[in-house]
Amino acid sequence: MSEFSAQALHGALAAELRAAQGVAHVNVRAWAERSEITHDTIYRVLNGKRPVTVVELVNLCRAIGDDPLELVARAAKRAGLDLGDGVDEIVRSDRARLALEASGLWDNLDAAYTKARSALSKTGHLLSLREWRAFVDGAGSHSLVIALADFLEVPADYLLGKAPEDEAQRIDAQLGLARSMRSLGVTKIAARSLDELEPEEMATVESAIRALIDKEEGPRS
Amino acid sequence: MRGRRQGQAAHEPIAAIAAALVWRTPLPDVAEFEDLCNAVSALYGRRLVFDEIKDASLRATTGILFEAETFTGILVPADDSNYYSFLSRTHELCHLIVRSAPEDWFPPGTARPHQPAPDSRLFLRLCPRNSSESNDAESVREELIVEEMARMFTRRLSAYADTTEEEHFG
Repeated sequence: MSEFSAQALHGALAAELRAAQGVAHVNVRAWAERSEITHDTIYRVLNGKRPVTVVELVNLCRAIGDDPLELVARAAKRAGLDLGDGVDEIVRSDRARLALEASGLWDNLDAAYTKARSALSKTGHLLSLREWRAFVDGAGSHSLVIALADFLEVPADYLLGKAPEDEAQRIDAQLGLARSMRSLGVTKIAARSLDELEPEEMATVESAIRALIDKEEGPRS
Repeated sequence: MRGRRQGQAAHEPIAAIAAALVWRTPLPDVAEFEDLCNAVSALYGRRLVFDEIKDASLRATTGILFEAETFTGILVPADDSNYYSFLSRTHELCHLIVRSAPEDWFPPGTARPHQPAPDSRLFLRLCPRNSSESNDAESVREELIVEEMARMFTRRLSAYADTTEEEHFG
């Protein structure tokens, strides 16, 4: 991407984020709290003073219930750009985050890096911090993603953005369920079923488990 | 599909393991489902809580077993017949027996299916019964054992001891 295009995209992303903020009726302080990004960083991103990173973009969108891919598509349209690899990077970053959340590793990425480095060293791969950050940003190399997919026990094609859409949606739902269960303090779950669970059914299961835990242990904040 | 899967040892007698675990579970001579729950709770060392899922959107799920902080939850669909619900709840209890039975409950030459490590990413286990989706051989082996155990428990518990599957499933 040329320097001119990159600047146009950053400006358009800032504009789309401001628009999304308006739609969500959220102030910067609240947005900062929800996204775990400092409020001054958000100010600078919204004012176009600083480019938003992929991880920040995903977090900001999730915090207000917007879809990062759709927001990028709107920004690209606004900037008159055709994004190929950029969207791919966001998909991969989004999935890397979900896989890390499902594994309980997202809250402390430094500790997660140490664990990943240790796990990968057993197969002869010396994971550098730069490679780790690239993976989190959705820009990890093919071989690196395959190695980390094994560590995270998630299909590599999914993390690489190559899985068929229906398969990706099912893995999204499985990882989302795992993330939700961890947040409820559930340490193990087994579902017996007649067939693979569709995403809607996983949502029903999640809701039923949440309701029973609320009833037995009280609602979580 | 219930045939042998990859990773399952050819000599592994699923039925023998199931029978040993079922008959070594301490129950009164005339036992009810409640007795089985109490026995499993004592064996597993956790409070058991049962509930039903009333949502009509449930299509494939027949049972959910999960470990919350202070209890072990078992969920089954509300719409299932009494017999099927009984089988599903018993099936989930059998998972707990497999996990916590003393080693000497397993017949000589057999072993407990490997359990995921506490920090495993595989703590979420989905066990479709009629699919080749389950590629974790140990999950499949455990599933075969507990399916067999659940059927055997219908003979040990008084509620359905004198009935046949054909009566319930047609």
